[in-house]
Amino acid sequence: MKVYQYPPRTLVGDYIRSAVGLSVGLGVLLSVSPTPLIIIIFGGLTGLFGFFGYRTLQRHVVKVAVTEDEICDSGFRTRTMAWTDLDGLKLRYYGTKRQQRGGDGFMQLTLAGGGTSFSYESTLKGFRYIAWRAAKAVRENGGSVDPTSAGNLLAIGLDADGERPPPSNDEELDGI
Amino acid sequence: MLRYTIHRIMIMVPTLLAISIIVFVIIQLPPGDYLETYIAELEAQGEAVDPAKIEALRAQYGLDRPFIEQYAVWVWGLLQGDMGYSFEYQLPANEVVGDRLLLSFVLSFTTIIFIYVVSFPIGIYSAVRQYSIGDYTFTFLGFLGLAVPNFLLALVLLYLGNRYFGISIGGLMDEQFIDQPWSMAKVGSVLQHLIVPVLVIGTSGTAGMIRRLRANLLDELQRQYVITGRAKGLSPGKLLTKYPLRLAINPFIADIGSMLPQVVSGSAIVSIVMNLPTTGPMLLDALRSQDMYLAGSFLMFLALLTVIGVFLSDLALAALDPRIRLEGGATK
Repeated sequence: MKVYQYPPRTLVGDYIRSAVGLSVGLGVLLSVSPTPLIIIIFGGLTGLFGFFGYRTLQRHVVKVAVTEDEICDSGFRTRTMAWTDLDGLKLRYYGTKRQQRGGDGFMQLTLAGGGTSFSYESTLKGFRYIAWRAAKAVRENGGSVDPTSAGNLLAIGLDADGERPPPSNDEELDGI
Repeated sequence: MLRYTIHRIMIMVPTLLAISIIVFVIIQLPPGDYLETYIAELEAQGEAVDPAKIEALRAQYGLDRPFIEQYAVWVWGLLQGDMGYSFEYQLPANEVVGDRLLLSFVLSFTTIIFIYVVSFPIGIYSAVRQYSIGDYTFTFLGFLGLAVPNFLLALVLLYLGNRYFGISIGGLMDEQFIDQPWSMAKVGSVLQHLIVPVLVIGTSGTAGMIRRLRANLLDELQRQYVITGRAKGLSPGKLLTKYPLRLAINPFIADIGSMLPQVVSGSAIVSIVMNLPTTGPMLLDALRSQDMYLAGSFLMFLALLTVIGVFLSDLALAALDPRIRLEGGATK
């Protein structure tokens, strides 16, 4: 069994963003006379940044265990999905224009099947291995990967058709 | 997507802050202030000016305070929806602006919808039926739309409206609704009057958009994967919408951000020509009379529209085309 986590240093930036957003939103909400417009704009922003902080905390505590038969996600709650149940894999890339030019940004892997879904970002240790294992499972289950995901898999050195070997030990421990 | 949205919002905040500083510096750049313009006007009319009263007014409006303090008060007010005080109208800027911001927004938004709704099918048709009579016709109309200035088109339509239909197409509502509370009849009148300004302001944008979509789609339609798809027997409609259109549409969506300020600034001149009660003519007056808070708040509103437009187009692009650009890589 392989167990992976998000390295804490990759979450620091998101904690800071969440804290700054919450401080500004709450700061304005508490220091000015509330009008419907203020409440909608800054209340919405506060909620958004609060939710983002919660999701960052979720990523902080989550442990992803991968075995030959299943993937198990244990954080605030524990969920398991057998690889045989996997019927959907999406690999998406997000980056601002500057990040795209500089080769930065991040990817998001979404796995769905058996009535549940998991979503991991590319800073997760073992991201490449999980993506490879998931692509293999989709193939074995007779499913197909959409062209965008297939292209993104190729871009990180993986192959949806399974013609390339699994990531080496060093590679599988790297986030992307 | 949430993380990406947060990243983009975090970029928006310093952008708006930097714009607010630039706007405030620029509206302060001309020598003197509103009161000096006011004194010059009074003196030109031969009226005596009491220096004590002027100093009192300067203190009342905060014009004697340091630059930083004036800026901080203005930005803090904007955060609360307070656009400051209009010296010229002797009223809070919010009251002076009244419905103009809303009408400007409605006009700009409707124009953008018009541009997209008209240019999308025409752009696709022109690319798919390249060098057909329809393509040549739309291309000709497109070049015409690009070449004719908006204000000239407005003048032509004003003339034609008066000469052949005996109607005035100026304004954004019938006269009886001006300064009246909003009602269904008033909304109907605004919608009726929107047609001509939207046509005038949207023509050049539509023409440009048709040309861009046509060029992008033609590029995609000539690629190998389209030929392969065609050889494999994919239906033309499916072949078009599945990949080439999705890829060709990227610049179409990316243009939302740049189109907003173009539409708003383009509408300023048209608004003057067509006597539309939007923000454009009032902004021009405010800049000329150094009514700094009114002008600054208008400019910040335009900047906010632009930044939100770019934000929305980036989100739409990320959702539509979440691919790694191979030349960029994806290392972190």
